[in-house]
Amino acid sequence: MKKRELFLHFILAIGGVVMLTPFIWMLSLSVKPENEIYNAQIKLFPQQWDWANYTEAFVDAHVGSFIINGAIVTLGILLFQYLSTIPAAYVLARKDFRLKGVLFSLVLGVLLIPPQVTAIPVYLLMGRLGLINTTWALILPFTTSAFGIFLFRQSFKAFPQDLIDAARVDGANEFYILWSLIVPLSLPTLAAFGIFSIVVHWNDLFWPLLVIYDWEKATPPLGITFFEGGDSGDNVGAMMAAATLIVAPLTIAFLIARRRFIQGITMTGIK
Amino acid sequence: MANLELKGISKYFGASQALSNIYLTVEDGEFVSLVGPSGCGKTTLLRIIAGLETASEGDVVIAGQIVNELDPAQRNVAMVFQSYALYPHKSVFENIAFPLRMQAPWFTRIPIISHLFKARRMLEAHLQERVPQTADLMHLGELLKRKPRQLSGGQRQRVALARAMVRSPQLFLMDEPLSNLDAKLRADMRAEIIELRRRLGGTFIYVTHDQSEAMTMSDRVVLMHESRIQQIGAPSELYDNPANLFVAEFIGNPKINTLTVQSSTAGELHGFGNHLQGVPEHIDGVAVPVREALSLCLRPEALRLLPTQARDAFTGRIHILENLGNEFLVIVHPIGEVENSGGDTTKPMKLVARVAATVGRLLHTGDTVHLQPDWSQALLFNQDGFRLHQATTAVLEEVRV
Amino acid sequence: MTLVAPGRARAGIRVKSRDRPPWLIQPLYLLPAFFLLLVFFVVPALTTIGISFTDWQLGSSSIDFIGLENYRELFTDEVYRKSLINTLKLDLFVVPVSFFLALGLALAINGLNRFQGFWQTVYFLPVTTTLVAMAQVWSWILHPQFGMVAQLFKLFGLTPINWLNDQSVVLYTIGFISIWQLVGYYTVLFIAGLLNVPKDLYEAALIDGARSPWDKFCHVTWPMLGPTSLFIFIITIIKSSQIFDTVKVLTQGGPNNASEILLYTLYSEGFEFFRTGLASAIATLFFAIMLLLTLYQMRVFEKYVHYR
Repeated sequence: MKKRELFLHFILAIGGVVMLTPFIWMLSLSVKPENEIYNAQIKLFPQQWDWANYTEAFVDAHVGSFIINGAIVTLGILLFQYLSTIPAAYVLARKDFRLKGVLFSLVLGVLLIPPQVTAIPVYLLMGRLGLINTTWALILPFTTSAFGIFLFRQSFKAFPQDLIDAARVDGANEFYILWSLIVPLSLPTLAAFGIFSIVVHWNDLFWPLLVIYDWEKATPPLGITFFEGGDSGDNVGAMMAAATLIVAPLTIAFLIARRRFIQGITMTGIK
Repeated sequence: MANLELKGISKYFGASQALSNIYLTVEDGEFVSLVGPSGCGKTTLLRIIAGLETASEGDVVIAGQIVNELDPAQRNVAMVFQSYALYPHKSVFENIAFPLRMQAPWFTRIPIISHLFKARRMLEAHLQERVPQTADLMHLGELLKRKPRQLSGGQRQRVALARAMVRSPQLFLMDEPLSNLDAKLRADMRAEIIELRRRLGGTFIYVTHDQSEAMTMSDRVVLMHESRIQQIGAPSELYDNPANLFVAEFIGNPKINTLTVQSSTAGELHGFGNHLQGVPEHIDGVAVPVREALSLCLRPEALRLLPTQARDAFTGRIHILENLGNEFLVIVHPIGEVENSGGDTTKPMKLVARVAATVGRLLHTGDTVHLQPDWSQALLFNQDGFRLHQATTAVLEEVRV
Repeated sequence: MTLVAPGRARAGIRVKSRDRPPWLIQPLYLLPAFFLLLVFFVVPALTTIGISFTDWQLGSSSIDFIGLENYRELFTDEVYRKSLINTLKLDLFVVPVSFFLALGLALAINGLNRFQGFWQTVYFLPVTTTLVAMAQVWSWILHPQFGMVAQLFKLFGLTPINWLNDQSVVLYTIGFISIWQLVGYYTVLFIAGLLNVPKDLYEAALIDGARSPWDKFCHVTWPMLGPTSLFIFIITIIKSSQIFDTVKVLTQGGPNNASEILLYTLYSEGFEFFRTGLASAIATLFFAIMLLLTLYQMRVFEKYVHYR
């Protein structure tokens, strides 16, 4: 068995190199001065470490702002998503009423709509509301998530009825049961969704591209496209530094909470 | 020639030991059960025989050949799993046919093209004959085209058996095959397996945690506990002649009555006031040892109901009366006595007696009754649980400790 | 059931409406979510479909109903046709490669005794990254002069390929970057599927004589992966049809529309040329295709769910 495992490791290593090359190269280029970048040789470590690229990325390219915007937008979206989806999922999961089937079908229906299909009218709506080029335009359209409702409904449905009954007997009202009983005990599912939502919205280029013009409001993916034609021109080193800074938050978070991450992002697999 | 021999099998999982030094010989055509509580090692042992696990020490010998290094398929054994492990995507026919397909040369499995080979055509013809034949033996004739999910629990069980049978293996290994069935179905399937065995005449190794199942089906029973064999023998042997306290308490339903007693310097037993005065000096041909803590055991049928008090009869109140139809089980709390085994002095001691229906019908809970022990049926065990018995050496020979 | 006059409870007679659940409960809990779903998803989707039948341009005050004219243009105009064909070509490249690569990786990782988590991490790393940023990195690695790949080519005496500017190659380069980013995602999904295969099925097969890895794969692994495989297959199609970021940032559809794909066309038509009606038609078409795929998968899935 040992030989077979070594063989598998070998194969995986070849693919692994391809997977990791961009990261390694990104880091390598980000600390190289310009002359070494345009040098036609493959060298991993620079002869001269040039950290100026990073300062350039922060100052000239405002990467710091992008990251802060990214944080504000994704966390803002997540907050509203939690606030809207959790109560709805609770009612759909544990209450009985005649419109339940219809409403749940609606949720399922929305799940089938790809994001690009709603883009144009929502853009028009944002325009009407005068919200183009504001942070709200980035947050509002995503304040609820059909996927979140679906996921939480499933999770809340599995919640033991006994605990709820016990709480009721003890005098708890609906509000307490949902927020102080069910939610704390459903943290894994909530966390997994949170990760999913943050990753998706942090990395979204399409929507910010449509509604944002100023770099001040840009999220990381949009911000880096500004970089190209922007002040820094064709400064590859600085661009690589910017890329590193933008990719770092999620990547480091991933390395820390690996299992949660994978669980969250592959949640779409569970039907 | 013995069909299966286990020589000194031990198995470690990391630091914990699952099996200690197991020796067992199974003759051709025997039905042997491996019984014991959860965690005793019986399933591990079965899997080692099958080849799904390898023993840390010791040899597995099948039909005179050491098979330690061989794959399951090469050992010519068949196994029926607790979950049946039927291939969900294959029909009943294909499930049964599968082992035979795997036995055929590899090129018969190439899709489409292999039909050109004579070997493939011969295989198909053979299957068309053999599979329905085997299916009929298990009363599955009508169900050949169905998929497992369309079958009931009992039907799936029979498909699993058919799949095992179709290769005419040397050994049939069964891992708690009836555990997933309800009581009635279990009884039916038990009868079918016995019938099957009679017809096929193969060698069966049967794992179960249900001692009554083992007792009713087997030629010999292997009782295991905490990775060791406690006793091997015919069912009646384990019942009448348990080698140690564990065996005595595990075998038999309802459980044997165990009295924890202390012997004096004169060899008299103490622990229950006057009740033990009637205990003879010799039990089972062995003199009662002096100054020892002992376990004195009596089967429920060894306690007789007396109308009046007697010198060594236990007097007590009926705590529970169970009506089994043909007989009654009377559970009695002897007056003034306290359960003193295991150190739990708060639980009242209880005695279980078997009583004829005619008598039982006259009894009520709370009645005061007198139970007379038949000391000739008493079993004595020392403080380590070993049986004190004239034939002790003979019984323990099969179990090398 | 006794007939009762609706509404009024009479002494001693139960009101019928108490037997049936109410129409709606706790509207306050449901309102925010469903209001938002309607406003930002349902109504916009319907609106898009509606606009697709018009000739509206963003900012214009006139709007006329033109029926299927937009759709006809999509299928007849050269550039739009190229976009559709490119998307198809891209899918035909990305989907099988991603699928089988992920399957292979999943089997390999699953077959290990140790370091499974390590390799999962390595392959999943690209999934969490911002594609736009990594695309920039790739464009540099693939730079025809200074890029690493070019250097390697020169090392072997070959002429470097201009990956992003060569018409015959650019589409596949875009595809490659997408595969790089997502193969880890599909691999993890496959691994989850593999872990769900009951272990005793493998043991039964082993006892029945299926010893070689190929036999085990054919008779146990692949059949049991059925629903998972179908699901992953559909997801790869959906995701590869949604490729946008790399094209926007690296090639803008060029050179000469060689990397023009559906969503990029949607973007440029809708937000660079402001032909809103046409862009809506693209969106609607896209929606229809995705819908069909997903519904098909759900139907087949229903059959498989009753497997065990």
